[in-house]
Amino acid sequence: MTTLLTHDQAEAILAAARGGEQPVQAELRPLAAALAAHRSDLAATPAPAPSPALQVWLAPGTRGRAAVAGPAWWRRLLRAVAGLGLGVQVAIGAGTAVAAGLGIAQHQHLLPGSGRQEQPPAPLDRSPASGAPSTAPSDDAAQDTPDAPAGTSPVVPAGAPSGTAGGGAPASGTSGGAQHQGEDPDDEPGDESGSQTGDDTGHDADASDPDSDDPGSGPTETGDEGTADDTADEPSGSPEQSEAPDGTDGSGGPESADEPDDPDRPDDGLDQAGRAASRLS
Amino acid sequence: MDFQDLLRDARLGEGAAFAELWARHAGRVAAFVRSRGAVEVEEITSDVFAAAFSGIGRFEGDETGFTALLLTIARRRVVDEQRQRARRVPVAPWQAEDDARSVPSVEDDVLARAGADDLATHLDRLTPDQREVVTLRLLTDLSLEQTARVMGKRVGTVKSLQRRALDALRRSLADDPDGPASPFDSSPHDSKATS
Repeated sequence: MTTLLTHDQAEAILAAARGGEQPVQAELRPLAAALAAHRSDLAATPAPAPSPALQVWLAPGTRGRAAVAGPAWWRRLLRAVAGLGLGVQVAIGAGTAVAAGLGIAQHQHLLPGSGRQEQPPAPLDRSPASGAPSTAPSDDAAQDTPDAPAGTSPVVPAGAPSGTAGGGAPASGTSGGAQHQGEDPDDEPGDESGSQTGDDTGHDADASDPDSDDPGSGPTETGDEGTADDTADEPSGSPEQSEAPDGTDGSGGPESADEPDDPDRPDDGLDQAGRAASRLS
Repeated sequence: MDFQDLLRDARLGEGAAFAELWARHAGRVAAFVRSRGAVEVEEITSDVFAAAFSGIGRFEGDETGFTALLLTIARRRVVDEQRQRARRVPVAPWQAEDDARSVPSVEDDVLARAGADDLATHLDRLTPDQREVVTLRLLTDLSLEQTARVMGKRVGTVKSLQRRALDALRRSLADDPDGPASPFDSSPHDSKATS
């Protein structure tokens, strides 16, 4: 009696109480008999009277069909997760589409404030031959970048030391040449090489030509035209100016047109050009 | 009638099938509810079956599983009722027989012993969980796993509770085959059982 029951002994007692034929130890039989009697008493408990709410169910006849068994919990969970994932994907796709649309609209300058950087108002171009090329060459003349092709260099005196074909660009003196410079994006290498040598100085001189009719315009226009004036005023200019037509092709006008505009520089270029021109004169 | 046929008819809404299920299991459910100390036995039993019939379309299993479902609902209903009773302040006129301070006479005690189930008296000495395990295993044919599911406990816990409950019953029967000698002997256990 001092030892505890084992699980097998407990199961055997319950099985015997339920009416089974499992053998039970002699010392445990009183307990099994008492449990069997208690079970009989419990089973003999009369069923209570159903409540009015339950009597509706128990009434003869057919009620509505019961709800169909729903899916298992893991199936519902899987569906919920899948739905959530789909929702996240849709949200990401929508966000990407909106971002792409905004990017395209901004690239196309369709959004307010997304337009091109406003350029300073172009100076009045009173020269008859101006117009075609933009003011970009004047920027090049002001910046005097090493890549600046011929014609954009600020100082191109009549007798430019280089005398190269590029150097002759400003000496072209013809507005037509200048226009061609501005429109021709592809310069010949030779022309560009020439521009790196002597054109830097020659163009400034052209651009700052005080005699130019269009002092406010870009160096390309003013310079070229200025050189035209210079050539007209100074017929004694370098004979290389006559070679300008070749050089004007390589003046780099088009390349300079690709350079960013710098609205502050033209004045400097003009000043430098003016000083150079004054020295030359 | 086979349980599966009964279940199929119940899913179709046949009132006769519900009546048959009620007739088969209402006694056990009522006994379980009563053994748990519920007061509104009939009401709780009816609520249990109404809830089970409402969700009969989602039930899948055999008759033992259906019994486990009924007892699970019944256990929760009993717990709810006991909680409500604990919150409710009882207001009732004084009755001499209901006064716990009164001591029954010897004659009353003898009469009570004669009509009471001996094992029920010993069962009152067990803890509530031990008593519930014995009642579930004895009243129904639930397995250990099903009993654990009804009680919301692990199978190992139910095994331990069952083994200790039967051992305590064995000792109690051996020490006092006729039950408690006097009401004072059972007072500590009664207070523990009702707690």
